[in-house]
Amino acid sequence: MPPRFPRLLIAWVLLLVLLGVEFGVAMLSFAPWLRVLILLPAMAMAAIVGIVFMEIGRAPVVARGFATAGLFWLLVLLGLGSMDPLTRTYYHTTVEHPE
Amino acid sequence: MSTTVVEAAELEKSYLVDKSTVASWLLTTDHKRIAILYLGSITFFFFIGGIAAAAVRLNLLVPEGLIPSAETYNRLFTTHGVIMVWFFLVPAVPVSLGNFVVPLMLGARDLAFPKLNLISWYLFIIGGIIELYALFIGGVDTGWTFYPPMSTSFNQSHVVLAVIGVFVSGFSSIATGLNFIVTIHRLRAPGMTWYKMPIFLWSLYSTSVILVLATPVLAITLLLLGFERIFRIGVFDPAIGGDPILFQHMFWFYSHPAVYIMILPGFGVISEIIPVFCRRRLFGYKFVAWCSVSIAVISFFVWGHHMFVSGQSLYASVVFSLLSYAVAVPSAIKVFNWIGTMHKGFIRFDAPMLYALGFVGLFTIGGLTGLFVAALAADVHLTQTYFVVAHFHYVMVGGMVTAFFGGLHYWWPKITGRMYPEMWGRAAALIIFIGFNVTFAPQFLLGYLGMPRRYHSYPPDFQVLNVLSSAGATILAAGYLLPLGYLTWSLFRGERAPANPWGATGLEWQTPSPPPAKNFATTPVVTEPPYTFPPPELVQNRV
Ligand SMILES: [Cu+2]
Repeated sequence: MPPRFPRLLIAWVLLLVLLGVEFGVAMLSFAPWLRVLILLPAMAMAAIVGIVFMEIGRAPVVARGFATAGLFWLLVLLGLGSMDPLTRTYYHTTVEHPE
Repeated sequence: MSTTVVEAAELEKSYLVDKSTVASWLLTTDHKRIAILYLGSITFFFFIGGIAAAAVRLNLLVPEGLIPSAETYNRLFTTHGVIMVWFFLVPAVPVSLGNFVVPLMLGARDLAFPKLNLISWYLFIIGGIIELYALFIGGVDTGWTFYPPMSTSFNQSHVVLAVIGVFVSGFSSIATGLNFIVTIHRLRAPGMTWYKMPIFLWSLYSTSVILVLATPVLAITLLLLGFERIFRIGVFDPAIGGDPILFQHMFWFYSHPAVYIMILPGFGVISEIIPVFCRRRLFGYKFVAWCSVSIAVISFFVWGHHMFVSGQSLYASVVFSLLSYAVAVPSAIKVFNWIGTMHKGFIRFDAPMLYALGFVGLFTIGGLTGLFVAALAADVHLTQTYFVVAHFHYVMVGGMVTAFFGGLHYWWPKITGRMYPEMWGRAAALIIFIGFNVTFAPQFLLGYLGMPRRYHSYPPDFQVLNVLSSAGATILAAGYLLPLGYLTWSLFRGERAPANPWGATGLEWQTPSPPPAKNFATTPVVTEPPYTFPPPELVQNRV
């Protein structure tokens, strides 16, 4: 095993813990202006992936480019994606479920 | 340079006979052997998906449907879609032809991560087995798109298992994409600059970028779908606080770019074949190369065109409709470049070229009808009809599958060391072209007249065109079975292939057919750009 292996293992466990935290906080109800806090564990996870797994600090330019492109893609998904809910006028109503 | 490399390499054993135990195949890290493993697997899935398609066409012979139960029919077309999309079209060219020729074209010994390559095959197989098991115990009837709340709340079929199968195979996609990206960055032979790379590599590079960026979104979406179905968390089902259109956004954020995962490698194959069989430099090399990249980028901006009637905001629909036209531009540029390459070329109609010509025509029809359905107002009429079915089959089958067959014939001598019978190759290309058009051209008419897709029965007025389509499917099936026959025959009885049967220029042709386990006896050095063919007068004299 390479010497960095324990470091990776710890980071991986940390990711799973943060995933659990994210799952947990998604169940809680927050005031609307506090809901943005739900993003915190997700951001921490992205940071761990970038720093520990991708070693962004020491990576060559190409790898940094890919990491930036990943963020850009996220921006496209969220930006273009939110165009719909921000301007939508019709929402589906609740339906009853068959047994 | 070429002759000495070939002679030196011939002293080594070919990769096919290097070791011959079963374990030497199942545990191989040789990209060429993994390509063969993949080729066998995707062929298997192609015929499974094909059998489901045959059942669908059989059912539609009569207006009331030949299959007694509508639900069985739903399960059949879902099987067809799921298997063909994720277990044939998405992996097809990259994992088989790509795996085989990428290191050879680059002048490398293998991919950057040979073990990861093997792992990705096992992930594909595990995903495939899960999928087949789900189908075997009853299947899924949601359609390949798994839309909620149908899939999460109102459905009795094996959605979770089917979704897990796709989920697992997604990791195989990601691993393959990552492997190609790193290989193309790191393992180019001395002198092989980016602009000296064959276009096939540019295509696969762009495809890999989409694979790596889009597939995780599909994985997350399917995971949420499974969670919602099992734990009733309210993400997509409006009855428990979710938004079903959110699923469509996330699903198509993957699945529209996935269309380009399927077709970009096909573009690459065609860009290899046409210059060789026209003895011409590829017209506008840099344009073709950068069009692949721009398609990969723009393909992420257009997904909402699948959702014009979903209840999505009208403003979003207008924007997505406009953006969809943008992605047509680079695709059209490529078509013009292929035609520009053929112009005044010395065209030879060998089997790979026949497939390539078929591809250009069929893809153009598929692409142009894509403009119809990208137009917001027209799509309200055409969506969910057979027009859409015909449109994407022209792209996926007329385009992609034809390109796959073209590439398979083109590289077959390199892969197996045997020539296939040329006349049979040409006959199959022709039969596939005719069968394809007879099957799918009537579906444009049916759709325009209003026949909806995914229905088990239809009004009697539509029968003539449906019978025509089913008859075409029979011809098409014969066309697809033919290569299975003569290619298998050629493995044992085919003529021995020389190192470069087509007089092509890529590095893969400068090593023997089949290549030795280590690909090249000495590392090749690249001095010329790709497709440097002699002028047609010279070729004429030589022939
Ligand atoms: Cu699309």
